[in-house]
Amino acid sequence: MPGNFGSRRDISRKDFLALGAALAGTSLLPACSAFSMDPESADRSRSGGRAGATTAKGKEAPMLAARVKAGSLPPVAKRLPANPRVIQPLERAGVYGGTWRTVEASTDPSWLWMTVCHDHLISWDPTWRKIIPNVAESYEIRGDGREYVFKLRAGMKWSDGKLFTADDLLFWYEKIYLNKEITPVLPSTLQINGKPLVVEKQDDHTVTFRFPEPNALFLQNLAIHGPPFRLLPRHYLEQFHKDSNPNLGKDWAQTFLEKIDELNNVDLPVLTGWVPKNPHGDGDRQVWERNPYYFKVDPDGSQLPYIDKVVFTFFQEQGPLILQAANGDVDLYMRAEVTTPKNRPVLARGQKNGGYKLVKVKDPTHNTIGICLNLTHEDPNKRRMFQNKDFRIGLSHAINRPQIIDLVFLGQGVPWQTAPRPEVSFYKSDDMGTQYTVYDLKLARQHLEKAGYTRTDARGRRLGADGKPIVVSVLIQSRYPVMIDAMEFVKGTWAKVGVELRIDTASPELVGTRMDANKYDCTLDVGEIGYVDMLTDPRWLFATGGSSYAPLWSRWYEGGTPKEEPPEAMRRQAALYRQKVVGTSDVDTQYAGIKEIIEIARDEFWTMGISRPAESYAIVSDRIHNVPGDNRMWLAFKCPYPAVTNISQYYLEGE
Amino acid sequence: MLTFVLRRVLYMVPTVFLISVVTFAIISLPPGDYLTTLVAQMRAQGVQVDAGQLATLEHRYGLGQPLYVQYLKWISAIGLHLDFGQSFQYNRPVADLLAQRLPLTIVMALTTLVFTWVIAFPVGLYSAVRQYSLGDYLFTTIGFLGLAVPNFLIALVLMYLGYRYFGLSVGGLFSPTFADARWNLGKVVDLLGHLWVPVVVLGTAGTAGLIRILRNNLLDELRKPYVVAARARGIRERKIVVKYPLRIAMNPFVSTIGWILPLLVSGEVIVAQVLSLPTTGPLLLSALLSQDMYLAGSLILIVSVLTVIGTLLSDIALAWLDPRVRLGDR
Repeated sequence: MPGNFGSRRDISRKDFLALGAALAGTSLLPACSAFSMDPESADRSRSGGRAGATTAKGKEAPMLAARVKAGSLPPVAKRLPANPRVIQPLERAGVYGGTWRTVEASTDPSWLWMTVCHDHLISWDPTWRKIIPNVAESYEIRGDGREYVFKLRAGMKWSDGKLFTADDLLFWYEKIYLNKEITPVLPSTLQINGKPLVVEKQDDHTVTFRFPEPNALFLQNLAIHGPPFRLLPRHYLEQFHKDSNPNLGKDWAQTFLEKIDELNNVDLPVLTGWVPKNPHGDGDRQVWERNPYYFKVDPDGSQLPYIDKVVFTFFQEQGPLILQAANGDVDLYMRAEVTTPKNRPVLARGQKNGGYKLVKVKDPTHNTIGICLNLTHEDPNKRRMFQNKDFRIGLSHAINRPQIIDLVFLGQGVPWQTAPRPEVSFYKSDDMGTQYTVYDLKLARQHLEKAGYTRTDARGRRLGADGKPIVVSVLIQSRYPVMIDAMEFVKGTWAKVGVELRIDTASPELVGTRMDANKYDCTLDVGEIGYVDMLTDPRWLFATGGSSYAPLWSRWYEGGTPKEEPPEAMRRQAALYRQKVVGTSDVDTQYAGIKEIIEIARDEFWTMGISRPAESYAIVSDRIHNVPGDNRMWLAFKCPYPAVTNISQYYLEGE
Repeated sequence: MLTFVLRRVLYMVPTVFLISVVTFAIISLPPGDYLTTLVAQMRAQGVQVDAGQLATLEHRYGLGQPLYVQYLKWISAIGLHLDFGQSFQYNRPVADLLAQRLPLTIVMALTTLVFTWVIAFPVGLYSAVRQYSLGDYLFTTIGFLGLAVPNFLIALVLMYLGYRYFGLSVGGLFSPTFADARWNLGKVVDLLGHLWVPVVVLGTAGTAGLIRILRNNLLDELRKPYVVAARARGIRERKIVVKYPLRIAMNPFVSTIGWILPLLVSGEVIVAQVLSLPTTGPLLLSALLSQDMYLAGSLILIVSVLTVIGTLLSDIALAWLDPRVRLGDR
């Protein structure tokens, strides 16, 4: 070493090249292509869409036509069912090819459920108004929602080319739904009042789902993001099930559950438009490639989807994800945590260079912040206080909503209570949303006094029944910094009427644990379900599972301990829900029922809100077409957009 | 020497065992488990979570059992079959996840190490030999800036500059076109094109530290009488510096080799998180956040074991370098 200090120029150019070649030769094993500078697997580039545009469309994608020619795939006519589902393209018939580039927050598969994973027996139509057949050729509801008859498509095939029949549904019912090892407890949407459903096969293409009592929301519960049961292939799964393969060991159920994980088991045959090529758990990116047996065609009879591949690049942080979008590397993306008002300036600025636009998307969220006082508080004094409607009205009047909207939500939104959005068809009135939203400290004091809290101490703090100053601790999930900012303002104005607000932040898990234990005064929640999804999930109207304002009452409704019977008004709401909404498949009766429930909720004023959020937006590149335009999509879990807008008819063209 | 090494290896057994117990305890300490995380997530997404679903999940993940049973299950599977268990979050074996991410992590860490040394070594040498020269001030100032500015901030700035002025696709270690291509020269070039960002980001802090250490040690040595004596005898300055003072000043380089091993796995968590790199750092972070017990436990265990092994290697190297260490043990 010492002697070599000055000899660093001794390596000659020749030596260097030889060294480089040797290095490359040893490290890059795949023989002849090792020195290639191009991506090894072709067709990942942007050129796919353009190439397709110049050739006639034909009945199937060029990449499949090539495989048919090579003899590795049957002709397209044999792959489609006898009666394929015909999809009307939104603007015009597309061209084949290309890769839909998109991004995903790491490990959260929601965006997959909202796009490539969503093909059930039925589906919402693109306007979120009615349920239409999808995998099923048709369906029929009998006996007020007691019986559901699905007619399947003759000759329809799984992505591996095997037939999809009634036996597959029956397999799910007998071997998964009824198997105690795989389904120890029945999902609440697949039973009614504790009684299981019965599935029967009429013939190879007809299946009946029968509930002992009407369960009119069954179809809506199937149409959600991540449905309670999925369509699974019997022919593939039988080898992993104890009933059909007795050689399996004790842990077979665990293996079976891994085998039906469609995101990670790339061998699992599926019915969706694209099939995964690598497991989701790779955590880096996931590639989905067209399903050669997909059952949809356009009006020309050309098999869908138009797009060859969908590539999801995973991100752990929002920063790179947003930059990637602003850079024009994303064709279509809409997820609430990215497409927030906060990120809008950056994304709007990148539009021209990145070659994309921001399309307005409606948000079914009815409230930025739902304030949930614990109506079943363990301390009797506090419980009486929170349950007093005048006390709640007083607090509501003591919130300066316009100020919070201006300073926390950047001026976007309008003051609103935890009430249905004005767009919902079953409740056309604004009165529930706007009641008690006026900022009026005098009115607030009047209501608090009416509630019986008239005494104040020397420092102007209002005294509770126990003679101590009233303190409300609000438990905020630390992942919502915006809520903490907003509550700082509420704290200031509540103090003016003599109520002290203490802000207590904790991780979502801890908040959940404390809520389950009924150990909190008040908590906050995003008012997510505020559009027609209120029909299937009325948590903001009365205490059901998922509601945050009365744990003991929710448990009374859901089953579970400890529980407590709610007041008469809420019992009436629950009864109405069972009879008129779940108990009948007649839409008019359902709407009348939910309207009554809303009116009770309005009169009782269980929870209060701050503001209705501004609209959201989607990132849509200039080269992806047939995507619905402004205000025609919703950001919803109960109706997964964009999947319901028939993503198989999207196509790529131009840059 | 042999007894010294044997003794150290024996000490490692109870250490690793205790580490595994502590690891598991730490992961289990926070309230709730993977299920509560999942439920909190689902609630936030507007998904109704019912008791039935919860029971199914609990059954599926075997979370109802007492802690010591869970621990024994976990540690015996690792000990007997090198089976690290199943990641709840990814629904895949932990070993798969590790196998996928470790190679790139190691490549990145080693590249960073080489980068750090290549920069720090000559700069440290220069600024010691030419103390208080313009170059010394310049390099040490840059070094201090690198040390003082948080790594993630440098990452963010580099990322923004890349996007704003070069239209680079940011994040990750490959361009989209190469991400799932097979390895070839193009992919290696593509990797190198992306690798420099994290390497520079991670290297800056380490470089500054090493420059200081080398500079100070060397300065100490350069003032010692034997150097003065050598210089008086007319030996060339370059030879004087390289022959003895530099070798002694290099001690910190050698004795910190052991710390490199754990850094291979966990050293770059925040930077990798910010840059969305497919390495083990972000895996560990997300596993901890969602209380993905087996994944987090396995990663922490591996890091700890690597630290223990690294310390052993360091000690052996030191014992070999410095006879006093060996003798003191005898």
